[in-house]
Amino acid sequence: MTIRRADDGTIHLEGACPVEDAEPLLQLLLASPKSPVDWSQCQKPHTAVVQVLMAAGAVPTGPCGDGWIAKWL
Amino acid sequence: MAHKVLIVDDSKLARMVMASSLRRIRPDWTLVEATNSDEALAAVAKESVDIALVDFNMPGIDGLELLARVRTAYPAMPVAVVSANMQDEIISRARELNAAFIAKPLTDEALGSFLSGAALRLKTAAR
Amino acid sequence: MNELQQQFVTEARELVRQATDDLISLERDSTSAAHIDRVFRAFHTLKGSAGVVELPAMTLLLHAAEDLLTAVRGGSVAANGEIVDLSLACLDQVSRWVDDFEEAAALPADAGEAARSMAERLRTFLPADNAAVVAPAPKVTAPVAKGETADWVVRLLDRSRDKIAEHLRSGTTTLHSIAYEPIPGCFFNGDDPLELMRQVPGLLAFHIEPREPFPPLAELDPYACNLRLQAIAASERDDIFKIFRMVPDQVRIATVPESALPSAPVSAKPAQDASLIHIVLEAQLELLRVTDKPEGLAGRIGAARRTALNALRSGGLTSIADAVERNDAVSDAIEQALAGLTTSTAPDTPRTDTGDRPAERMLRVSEDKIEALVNLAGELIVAKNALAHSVKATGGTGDAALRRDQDAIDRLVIELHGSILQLRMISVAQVFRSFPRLIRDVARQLNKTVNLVTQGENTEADKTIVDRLFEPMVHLVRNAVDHGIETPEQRSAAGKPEQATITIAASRAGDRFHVDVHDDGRGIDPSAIRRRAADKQLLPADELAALTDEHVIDLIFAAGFSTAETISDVSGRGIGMDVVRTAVERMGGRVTLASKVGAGTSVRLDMPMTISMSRIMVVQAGGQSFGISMDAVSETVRLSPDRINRIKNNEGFVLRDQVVPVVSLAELMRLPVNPAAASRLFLIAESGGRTAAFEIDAIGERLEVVLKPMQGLLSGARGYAGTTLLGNGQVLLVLDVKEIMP
Repeated sequence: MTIRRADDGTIHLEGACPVEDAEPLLQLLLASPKSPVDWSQCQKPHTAVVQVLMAAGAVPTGPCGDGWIAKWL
Repeated sequence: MAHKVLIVDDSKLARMVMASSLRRIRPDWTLVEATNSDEALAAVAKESVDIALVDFNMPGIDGLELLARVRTAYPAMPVAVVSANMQDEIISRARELNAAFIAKPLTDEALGSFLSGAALRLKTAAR
Repeated sequence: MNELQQQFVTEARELVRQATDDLISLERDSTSAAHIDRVFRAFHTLKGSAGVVELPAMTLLLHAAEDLLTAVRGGSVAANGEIVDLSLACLDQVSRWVDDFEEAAALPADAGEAARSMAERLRTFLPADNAAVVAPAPKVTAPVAKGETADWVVRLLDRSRDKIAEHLRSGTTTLHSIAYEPIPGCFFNGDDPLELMRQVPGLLAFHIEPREPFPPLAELDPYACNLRLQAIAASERDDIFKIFRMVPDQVRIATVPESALPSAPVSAKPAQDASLIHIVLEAQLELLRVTDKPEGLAGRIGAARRTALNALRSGGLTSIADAVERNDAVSDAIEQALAGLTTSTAPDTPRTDTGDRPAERMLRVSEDKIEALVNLAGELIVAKNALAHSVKATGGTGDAALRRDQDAIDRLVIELHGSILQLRMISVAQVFRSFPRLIRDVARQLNKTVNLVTQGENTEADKTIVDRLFEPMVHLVRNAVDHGIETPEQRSAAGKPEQATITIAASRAGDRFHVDVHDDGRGIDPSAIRRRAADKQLLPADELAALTDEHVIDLIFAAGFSTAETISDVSGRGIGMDVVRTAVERMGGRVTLASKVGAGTSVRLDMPMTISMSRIMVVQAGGQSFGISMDAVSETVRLSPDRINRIKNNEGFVLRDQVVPVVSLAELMRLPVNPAAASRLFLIAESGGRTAAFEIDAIGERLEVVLKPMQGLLSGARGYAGTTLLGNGQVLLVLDVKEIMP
């Protein structure tokens, strides 16, 4: 699992976030839509994961750990 | 969840490549090897295969034909054609069969993506 | 070599062999779809295998060959001899490369060049429109006219105006727009649309948006893709298409019309090598990691930032440079820049390591090690003989225990030696495999049609024998096709099938190993041989006249004899059957020939199974011992002096209706000749089709010995086959009967 919610409520995306992470991320966001999202440690998030963030209108704090995503998204 | 993957290729080298890649990506999954389509069909009938990786170029029944036959019995099985033939026709026929297309030489990345999608499909279908 | 590479070598050789056979069959029956399919599949699998072990030159060549075969399969190119020739040449090249690869785990330096030139030759046979059939046709829409550029393209161009302007200053690549709408189920197929976009080289602008407005989060299906990805890239459209070739139905690539571009400023700056920038950035990180000297840290941070910025900007990577400038944490910023650099510039290389797999239950042992064992076993035989000698020297006092132990050692040594020699046994299949191709090539050159039948491919013999078998067999087979086989017209005129048959067969006969080469051609005409022998003055006329037809045919093995009426470049001039005889006799074999005019010719190579051991007979002459190979000895006879006839200075006698010349071995070896005794002893030897009687004083033991070649001063001496060490430590000279024949 590379998606987790910290004690302070922040949702962390860490490491390579593969396609199957989209669903747990969606569940976390459904449970607390206002949670901040931190993807500074995230590498190569799958499109499905990015799509969930987009659909939730979540604006991650700080740049993505993935250089390409940080540059282009 | 661990799945059983069927690998079909008449080249032992190609099977070795697929098998070792698979073992790296999904060490807990089991695999069944077949050297031609007839063996593959027998394996599908006998063992509970979850996913199939099939070479296109094989003597006798080719890979797409094999997948078409597998499809009739298992419409939802995640399957992929593995081939170095980057031909539109093969890619679009694979698409018609709802089969993924994986290019040779096989990379862990390409196989890994397919297997993730396949696992997802199996999980979603189970619900 | 790792296991994959070994498997590649094994499989590639098998595929080359199979493709060669199928190409030859294809030529014979050029419409056979099954043959074409098999050939195609073999080439295709070879190409794939070359990709696995990362041999781009081989892949390139095989790709071109595969294209040609695709055209053959599709019927747009006929499978004529030229195409088959070229395909075979291609397989020859691959075969050489496989050998190189096995040897050095790499291809020779000129492989790329060789591959390109051969690929070009292959492509000259492709019909002009074939390229479109073979290569995936990029779905590139024609450049749209001014004013028709899609709105999104205009928006993206505008948004990335600076970067595009910068690109236009440095590069000349045309810009392409990419519109990618993945199908909803694409995630299940393992597609990752962002991952594809990530691979687009020269990306200048990128946008991602939902295709349909997203539903409320609770209703979102996380695994249904509802996205549209758009991009502008400065790269060739083929390069872009390659990335999206799996989803051709979901992507549209279009050339961005120049009119839609921001005006291009003038100064041109070459883009800097990304790897150099990489090195510079890594050096900066290294510098920052030095923490034991806190005093200059602030200065180092500033210097590192400036160096990194300069490197990035000079390489045209302005956006990454900007990100580094904005980020206060310099180390992090440089690390991120490095990550960005890697993902945008370095394509992922396929990994081919094998992982852990159990080894097959087969041992590979190097030839050297086997050779060492064979030599040791050979010396053990000598020691065994020495032991026998010593036991005899005890005077045969009847120490039963000593005798018993010696017998046991004898038996074990012989068994051990036999088992070790077994390690060197290989089948002749490998040698036989070359012949379908050889016969095909030669027959084609001569406009003959020849079918090859092989038998007994699994017969085994010592590696040395099998290795040396090839050359004489090539001569025999070439001769058969060139001289033996008639032209199709001659054959049909003679009431024979137009297609000739050559049979090569291997078999075992006791401890001998036979290879027969048979053709159903015109046979050898003894009268023609007589004429030629007379012309060449190979024999005095009276001797020639006295020879039976059978013996006359044997003359074709004589040096300098060639039966061909015309010189052809197939058999050449001066390379005759004498070469075959020499080669075969050198390994302790004999050649015999049988022929019937009009029906064909058979040649038999009769060889020992191994040449490591020789059976010799020890003889005495002029007070010295000599060894003579039993292979050459046909019998020994004792005659009363009155049976010997003297003709001028030469002696001879008649043995079974044949005149046999007498040679005194002592005289030949320049040793004192013993006075004539009541009866004279002769050793009848045969070699090169001739018979002679060597006069000797006594016959000694028959031995199995390991023959060593002549060394040192004697290495050039003629007349000797080698030396062997006797049990009593004496060195025995073994005579080469062929050389001392009168």
